[in-house]
Amino acid sequence: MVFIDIQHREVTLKLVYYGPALSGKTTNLQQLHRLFGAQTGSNLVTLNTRDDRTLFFDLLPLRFATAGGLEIKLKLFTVPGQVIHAATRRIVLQGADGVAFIADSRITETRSNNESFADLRRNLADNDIDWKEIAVVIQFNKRDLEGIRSDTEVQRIAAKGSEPVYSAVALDGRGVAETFRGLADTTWMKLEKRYGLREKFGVTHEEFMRQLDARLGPLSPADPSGTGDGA
Amino acid sequence: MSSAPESIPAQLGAADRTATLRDLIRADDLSRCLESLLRLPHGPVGVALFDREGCVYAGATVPDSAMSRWEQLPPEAHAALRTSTAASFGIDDHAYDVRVMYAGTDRVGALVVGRTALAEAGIDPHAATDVAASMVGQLLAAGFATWVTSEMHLAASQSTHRALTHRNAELERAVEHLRELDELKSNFLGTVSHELRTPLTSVIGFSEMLIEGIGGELNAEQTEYVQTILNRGEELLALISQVLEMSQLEVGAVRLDLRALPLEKIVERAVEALQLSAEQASVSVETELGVLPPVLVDAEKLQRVVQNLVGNAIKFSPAGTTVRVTAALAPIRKPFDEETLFGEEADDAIRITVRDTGIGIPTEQLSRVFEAFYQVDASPTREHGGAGLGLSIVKNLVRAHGGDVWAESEVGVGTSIHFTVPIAVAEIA
Repeated sequence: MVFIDIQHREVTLKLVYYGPALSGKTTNLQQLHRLFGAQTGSNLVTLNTRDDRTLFFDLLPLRFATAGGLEIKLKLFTVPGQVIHAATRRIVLQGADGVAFIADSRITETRSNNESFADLRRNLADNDIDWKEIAVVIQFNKRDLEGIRSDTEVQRIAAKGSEPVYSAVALDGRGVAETFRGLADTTWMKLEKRYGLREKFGVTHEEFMRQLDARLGPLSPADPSGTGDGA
Repeated sequence: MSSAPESIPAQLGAADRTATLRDLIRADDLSRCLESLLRLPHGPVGVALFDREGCVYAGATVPDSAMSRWEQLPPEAHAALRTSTAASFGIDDHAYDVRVMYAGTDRVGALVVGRTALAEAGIDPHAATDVAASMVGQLLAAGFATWVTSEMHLAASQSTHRALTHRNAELERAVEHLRELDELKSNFLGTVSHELRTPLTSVIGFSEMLIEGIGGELNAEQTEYVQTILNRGEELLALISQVLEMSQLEVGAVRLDLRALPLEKIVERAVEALQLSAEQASVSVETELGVLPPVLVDAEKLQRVVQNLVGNAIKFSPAGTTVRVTAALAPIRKPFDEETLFGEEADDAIRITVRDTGIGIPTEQLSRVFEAFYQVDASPTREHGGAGLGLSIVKNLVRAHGGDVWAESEVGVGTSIHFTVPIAVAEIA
């Protein structure tokens, strides 16, 4: 749960990247690290097994100050997606304020996505986190592969649930910043509603997003054709 | 006279190990802290920190003094610093204080602070040394706490890892042993079943010859007795065949002859083979398959699956009821029974359902019905016979095709057994 240090005017948010094995959670964090790296000087803490898969978790710490002098710390975690690491996933989810669910867009991965999503709901419940209280966004990753759900299908799925949905190709960075921005946005709104951060610290939602945007830089265009890629 | 046990060098526990100074303080933290001291007015003119290996940090404000050449001190001076206690001495026009630095209970280094020998009024000459020692002491205390914690964690993980490795090795040996035993059992069952079948063939064959009157005319009572021998013999043969088939499936000795075939014909043949038992039980069998793409199966094995399931359904259905066989396009895996936000799985298989209106199976037993020799009603007075192998054979055969099998049931209403087999993709393309 959000850690608020009133004396030092610090707010620490915990954001977790969740999803089935090999859906691209660590890749999302690596891309964010690349985006933020120069400005925050933060290191991506990552523990990989021999075959490059996450064993425990990855952690990307970010910190910045808002105009009101509030220090914001964001701790971004990933969980290991493999089914056998259920206990680690539950522990990493403890006290999470927001979750980005990274789904694999391929139709063959439908079952893994559904199973992982059910696993997320169960683990949140086990950690006494109310589904309605926590911010959740969904990313359909690997949009560049063959055999994926069409954009129309993704829109249909998005319409079914209330969670914001993003498309991405995390490997080349497309959609990663948008997903993170959406996650931070939704998380702040939920926390604002619950803890009244604006009243306590005088920091508005707009100010929080402005600071974040200043560090994210311009977002990649929504059109995946690649125009305006900075080439 | 027994000799005293030899002393074994005790392995130091994680909490008792000694850290070196370099393990405890990061070089940049140390220079940040000590450099600030050198900038103080009336502060020290040189500071150095030594550990067992030599000089860890050296800084001086006076160029070309002894203090700018700490590293070049002769080895005996380093040795003296290693063993010294808190002391003060003077060389030329500089005074030096030595403070011993501890981490936990261990001596990890010596701090040497140099100052001008001229005492200034009102200033304690050792104050700067005490400040420096206290600052390095704080760094050491924090570093030591972190180090000890990480050592303990590391030791705990290593010990758990060792225990797990040991346990895994034991388990692997046990599994290997069980696998061998299981194979032996299956081979034994296979051999015994085969050996039992041979004499049984004679029992059945000669009974048939007697009934047909080849050995002379039998009276009604004799015919009835021989008919009973024949019936029981055939039941026994069916049971032995099941055991033999099961043991072959378990050792993986079954090869599938996969072909793209229409499902209808296979189901039709299976149902035809059960016509007689359906009539005897006054149960009708209806099939509604619709128009479906061909499936990639071994015809003989799939017929066996359908026959086992329909045969079972007939056995557990009350007279006058109907057993239904239906089929539809479906995903190959059993449906996911939680939220399916990410959509439905692709229909890459055909799901065949055999539904009866029999006694049903209690929910807690549903998942076990596919285990070999499992009987829902295992009481000695049970109404329905069988070795409890039919569904286990079905499961093994369906799995061998890459399909899934599961049961749904409601006590008193009936049971549905579903299984899937893959569509012959190349055939439809």
